[in-house]
Amino acid sequence: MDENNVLMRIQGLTTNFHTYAGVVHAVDDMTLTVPKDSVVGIVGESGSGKSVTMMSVMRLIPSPPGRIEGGHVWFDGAALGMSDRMQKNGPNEGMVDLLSLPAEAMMKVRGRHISMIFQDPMVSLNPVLTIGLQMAESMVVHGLATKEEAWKRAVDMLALVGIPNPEERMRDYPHQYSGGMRQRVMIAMALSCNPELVIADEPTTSLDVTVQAQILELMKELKAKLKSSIIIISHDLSIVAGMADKVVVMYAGRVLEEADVYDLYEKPGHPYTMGLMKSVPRLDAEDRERLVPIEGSPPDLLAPPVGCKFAPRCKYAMNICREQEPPLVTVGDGHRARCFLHHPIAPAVPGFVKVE
Amino acid sequence: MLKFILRRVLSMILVVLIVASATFFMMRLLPSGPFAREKKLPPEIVKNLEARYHLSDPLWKQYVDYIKNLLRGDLGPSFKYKNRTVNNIINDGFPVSAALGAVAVVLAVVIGIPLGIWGALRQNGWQDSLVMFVALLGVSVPNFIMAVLLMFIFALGLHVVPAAGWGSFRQIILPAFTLAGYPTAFIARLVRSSMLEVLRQEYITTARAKGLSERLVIFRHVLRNILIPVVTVLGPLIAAVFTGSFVVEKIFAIPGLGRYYVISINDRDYTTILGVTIFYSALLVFMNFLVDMTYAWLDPRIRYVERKVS
Amino acid sequence: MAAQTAWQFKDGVAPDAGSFVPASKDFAELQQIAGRPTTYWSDAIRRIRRNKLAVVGFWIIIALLVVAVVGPMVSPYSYEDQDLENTFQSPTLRHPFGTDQLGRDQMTRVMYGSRISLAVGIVCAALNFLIGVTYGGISAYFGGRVDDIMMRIVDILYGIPTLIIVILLTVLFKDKGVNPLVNVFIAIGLTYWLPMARIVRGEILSLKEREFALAAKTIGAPNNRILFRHLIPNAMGPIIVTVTLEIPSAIFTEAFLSYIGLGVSAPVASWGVLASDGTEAIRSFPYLVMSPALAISLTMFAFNFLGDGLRDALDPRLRQ
Repeated sequence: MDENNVLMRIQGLTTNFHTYAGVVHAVDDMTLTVPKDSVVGIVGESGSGKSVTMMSVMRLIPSPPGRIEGGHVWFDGAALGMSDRMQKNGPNEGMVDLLSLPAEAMMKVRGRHISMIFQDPMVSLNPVLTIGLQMAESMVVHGLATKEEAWKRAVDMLALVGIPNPEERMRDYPHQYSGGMRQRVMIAMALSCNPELVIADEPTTSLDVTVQAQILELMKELKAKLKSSIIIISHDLSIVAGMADKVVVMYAGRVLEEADVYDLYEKPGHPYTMGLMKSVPRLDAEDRERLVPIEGSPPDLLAPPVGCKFAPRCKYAMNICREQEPPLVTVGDGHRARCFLHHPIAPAVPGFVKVE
Repeated sequence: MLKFILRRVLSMILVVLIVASATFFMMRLLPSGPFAREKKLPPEIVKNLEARYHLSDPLWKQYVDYIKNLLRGDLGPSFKYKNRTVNNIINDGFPVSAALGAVAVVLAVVIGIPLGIWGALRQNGWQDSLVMFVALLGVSVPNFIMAVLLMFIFALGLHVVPAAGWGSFRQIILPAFTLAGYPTAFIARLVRSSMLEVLRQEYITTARAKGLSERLVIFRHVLRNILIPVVTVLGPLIAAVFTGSFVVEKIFAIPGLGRYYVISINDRDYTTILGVTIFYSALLVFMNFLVDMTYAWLDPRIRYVERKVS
Repeated sequence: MAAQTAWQFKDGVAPDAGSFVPASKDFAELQQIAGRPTTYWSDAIRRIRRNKLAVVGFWIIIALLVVAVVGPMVSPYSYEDQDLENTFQSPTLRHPFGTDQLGRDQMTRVMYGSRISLAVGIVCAALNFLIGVTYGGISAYFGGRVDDIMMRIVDILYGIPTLIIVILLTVLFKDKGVNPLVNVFIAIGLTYWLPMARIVRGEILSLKEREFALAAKTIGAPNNRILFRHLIPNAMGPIIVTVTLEIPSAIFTEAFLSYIGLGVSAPVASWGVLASDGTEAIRSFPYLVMSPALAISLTMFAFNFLGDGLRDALDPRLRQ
């Protein structure tokens, strides 16, 4: 991994929610590296902790129940313009720990250097404010433009995302737009300050299938034009496959596997990943090949099982899997997995590519 | 938009018409009504009544006359006081009540909204519990009790304000605060729960994710959204202020319309009761109309129902 | 490429071959979700128990019921026993709330007043419930034009200030030989059903599209059965809240009417009448107004606390 090319590095992030029923371990010791100018996909079921991780990065976790208990989120200090807060030496030289920033400093990062696109465009826009105002806001707040300039740039951004008649549309209200249009607005809003990182949390899940395709096309176009990195979160493998350079598979608040997109699909290193791929229809599948769902459901994060969190549902679980949690080990170039099956003594499993 | 206004205006007129007609027929037809034959009234009064109200005319003609008079704004003479008309009474009393009511509503809004916001922002803290408790008291204690209580403490006990009467600035304080009690409490509770509701919305997270300061989020994104339910509830609150004025004016001896209304009820001055009832109804209906218009202006989803973009 | 094994095991003890044997498949125990399963109602009851104010309110209401039923029976006085030698007495052991301008025992009168207030509360809430639920239920169930027309009527009626109509009705029926209390029952019962109708209609409208209602229809259940046996019971949450909050409204209205002279009349002792009498004497004998004032306020608090608590407990969105 080229160290100068790292935009963000999440290290050991742990986020818990303290509810009346107990402590929910939403994200546990999560580690992820996002290179510059690339697309990282995070795949996982509901409750896997993918959204909570990103909300932790943005420090938007609602604080009475939620708390970021530990870890670091290192971000390129030069890009942030915070040279005084950069690490002077060590593995994270030149980076700033977002989790250590005071609240006002973090506010300057949000929207300007890291922006987010949310899942449901129908509720993500304020119904009583015009689209134009909501779009121009971030530019003005971050001091990048005056109101008039911001307005003009917003018009350009609307055109960029494919909205017809942008000047007139700026004065409209969100309820006058369809879902697909609103999501385009969200994308435009996210890009308006030229952030280094764009996080798209299930951007197409709430949309119709046809609109989904349009939005993904749009995002691919924009990716080609922009210099931002994108993190795209989804429960849908196919979406991630279409866009990502690198894929991370999360489960029960942990990373189970992390690999370059081709490696992941050709040489999956975790039974969960394999299971995910078998449960989705594929164009290159044999006729009448059955979809195989993964039995069971994700663990209760209030009282997670001891040992590997996936073990209860894993076809190949071994005794040790019930007792201890496997560490994340490197199984290939840029490919890591959290599974005891990679251990030299572990039996071979069909379809599973053990570390060489 | 125009259709919206038109429909409301029509609705207004309809309601007033219904109330007026209903009261008319109730007065004429009910055996206990004022014009019943069993009432033993002195002959001059009977003659006056006959002359004024054309009681010998067929009912439908009386009704038409009645409506005609109504449209001219003529509410007839007082039943009890031979040299006063209902219009007189209203003209005397209404400005006083309006002033008092206006002060009360302003107080309610100016105190209630910030209180509700403060409570919501400190949710589950002691401030929130305090605001909620006090607001619950304000909503539960009836206005006549509140009036007596406040009068007892501040006027009779501490002597900081006069106990009754009207005319000086100090005499407005106690009645205005009493009248404002219920609306303030109601608004505070409503604002608090609306704020909590709005703060939970996705679009607030979006705003924060764009890097807006908490202050900007609240003043630009949250405030207008909570004003909408407050305006919606303003209609019934104004009605509560009207009816509250009946007792408050009675207790503090304020020469307003509410006080005359209560007196006319006790004196069985039927025409005055009738006239003032219609007046109040019309006023309330009009206030509701204004409230509706304000609500439509605040909420773009009502304003722009057409024109969908795909 | 050689395996970069950062294999770290617990306690640093390397596992033996037996650890890597496939484990037995007993999923069931591992699939348990922590936390006891709860139904909507048990969850709601638990929530409301935790709400101290609501619990206090509940007990106050119970106490009120007891006082209303038992109080006047055990009191040595009746509400109209006059004792002209002992008027305007301060509170003593014989007369814990003092006596009024005719020497009547205030405490007994307040206890009688509680009977009236509770009667008003219950009867009016019951009337409002019956009328409102039926009206709203029918309007929502049949939908379409029926719903439009019925709701139009409600909208128009909403524009009419209810207290004024109540006043009008009471004025017109008073002095007529109708028991003034019945007068009040009818006046309030007939006018305050509008909010209930709206709420019930809203609930039923959303419930009737749910599967269980459609299922009942396909079985061929008759309309009224679907409405009354299936839909309305499911809307019970908001209905209960509304009824609980309508009771203090009715009690307040009766007290208000009595205060301005329209409700029950002397010597019957409604709290409103007592408060009115007490206000007249406030400058010289302030304690006279305190007991009815406290009684009314306490009762209204209690119902409002309870109603609020019920509303929070039964709101499905606030489930934790």
